[in-house]
Amino acid sequence: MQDCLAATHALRKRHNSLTCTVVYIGDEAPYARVDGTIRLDGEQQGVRLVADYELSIVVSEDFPASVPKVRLSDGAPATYPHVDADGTLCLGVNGEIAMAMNNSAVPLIAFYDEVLLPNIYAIEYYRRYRVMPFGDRSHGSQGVLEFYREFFDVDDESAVCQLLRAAAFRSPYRRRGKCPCGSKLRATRCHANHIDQLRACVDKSILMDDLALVANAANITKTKSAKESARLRLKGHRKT
Amino acid sequence: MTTQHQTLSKALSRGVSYLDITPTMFREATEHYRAIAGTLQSHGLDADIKPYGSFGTGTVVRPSTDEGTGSYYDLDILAECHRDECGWTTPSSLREEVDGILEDDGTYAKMIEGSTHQCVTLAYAETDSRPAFRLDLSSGVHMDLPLGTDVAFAEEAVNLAWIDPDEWKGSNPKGLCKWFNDQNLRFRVYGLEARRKSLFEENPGAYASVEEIPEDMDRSALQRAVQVVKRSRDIYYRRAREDRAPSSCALMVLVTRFAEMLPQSSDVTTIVESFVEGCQAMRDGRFAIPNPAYPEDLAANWEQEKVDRFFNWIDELKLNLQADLSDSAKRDAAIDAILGSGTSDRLVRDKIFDPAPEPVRINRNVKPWRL
Repeated sequence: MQDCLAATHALRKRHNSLTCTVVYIGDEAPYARVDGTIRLDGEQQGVRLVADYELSIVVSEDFPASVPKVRLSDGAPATYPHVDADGTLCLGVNGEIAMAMNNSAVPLIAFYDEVLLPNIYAIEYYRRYRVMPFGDRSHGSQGVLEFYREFFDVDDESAVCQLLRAAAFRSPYRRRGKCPCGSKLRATRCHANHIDQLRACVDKSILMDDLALVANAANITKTKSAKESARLRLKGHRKT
Repeated sequence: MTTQHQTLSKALSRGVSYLDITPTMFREATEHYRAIAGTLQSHGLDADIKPYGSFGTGTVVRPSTDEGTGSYYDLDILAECHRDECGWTTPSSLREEVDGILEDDGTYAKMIEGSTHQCVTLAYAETDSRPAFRLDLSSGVHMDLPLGTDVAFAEEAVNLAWIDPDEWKGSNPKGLCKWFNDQNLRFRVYGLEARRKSLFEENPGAYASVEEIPEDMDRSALQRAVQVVKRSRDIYYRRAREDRAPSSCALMVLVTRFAEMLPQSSDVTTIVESFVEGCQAMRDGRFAIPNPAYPEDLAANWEQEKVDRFFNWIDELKLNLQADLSDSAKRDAAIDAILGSGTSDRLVRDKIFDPAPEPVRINRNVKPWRL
């Protein structure tokens, strides 16, 4: 609880329009909540957007092993596609957010600068222009797969699964051994740095969750391509 | 009138003037289209060449290809060709004659950038004294007795020669300019001397005296309002990555129509606000923009998505017009959303605005996602 409180107070120190409270609900673990109005005054590719957003950021007791939840008091624009069923904003893939939070000595400050502000900018841009300013990810497990594909710079789903598994479980992976991606290169010459970065920045529980989603997405893709092959085979058979 | 209203008018008028055609460019463009008429004449083709569109109405605004330098001006000119005997049997025979003369001419052959269904485009390279511009030359013949056209503009109607596929396209671009210029007259006379004086002062060396300034270089509040609306459209549709923007002539007609009931002393903000309110009132009815100079609906081909986008832009323009100008960050963001990035910086340099705090640079490290 102390880490989580210190983080919220560090954020409040930088943005004095925010207030911090510790919330206790029954037997649940207490959490810290940051409420208030933040000003978006951001520019990306020459487009400056300025708006004030009233919001609350909920930081759990296990922070930074978990990602904070953010809710806008007035809600996101009606058709904005990245809001969860509970009304909180979907800010990004958890592994991606965890790595961004590692960009500062105070993870909640990094979360604010690297994750929350770009998301608020995207929401404001969407509110005005009905498009996402710098892209977004597919919903569900496909979006997680997209992120790890970009991160590892590999296309093959099973290679992404193996690399993520190596990051989440230490045992089958050796830096001087063959890279889990299947390239037949030594890991040190291939993906060792990526794996080390994930281990250093992302909590194991987040990696495990993301691995499950990536495995699911890979299965979906495999099933789809198997069905497509069967369909094409059948079509070819009918023609002959 | 509130301070906010006056400040906004001043900022919009000055801001859009940065995007206007310069006196040098106006002079050169006029010389160039007259020279084209001379070339056609020397090859035995009798043609009147006149500017139309924004060049003919004094509402030119630089396109927003990158919201900064490097963009060019598009100027529209029409060659109305005459032949006493049988004339041209097909649109392509007229276009072949006009385009052929230019292609065979030593000067113009190098300048032809392309030939489309509607016109041939001549590109004029950037020089030290003016930015690059392009002349879109359309060709046509006089149209007799255009049915349903207001008699005041019937004389100006033409059959434009379109090719691939061949089509005589009835139209009245010069009549539309005449209609606008008639409507603009009462706005032009208001404050004319003061505007000419300030134009003289803002362009040192361009004119020897105030009297030398051509009438076509003066901009009334109505002309400035049309420029603001067109520029706002360019910025919005570019940011929204949407190609189906309303045409400039449709916007010019709407702005002018909604200004009909306004007093001649109205400023830019009042005219743009009346355009926004007028458009918002059209939201629930049948959407049409009748051309006042020719029997056609300028929004005839607008599908529902285009109409919805149009209203989305109108809402965004309204939001920017209502921005709190006492908040310098919001002020700069709103002015740049209407007139393009960098406009507020230039207004600061010209001491119209005080400097605003620097915005945060947004990194795109994390992309939104939902489980």
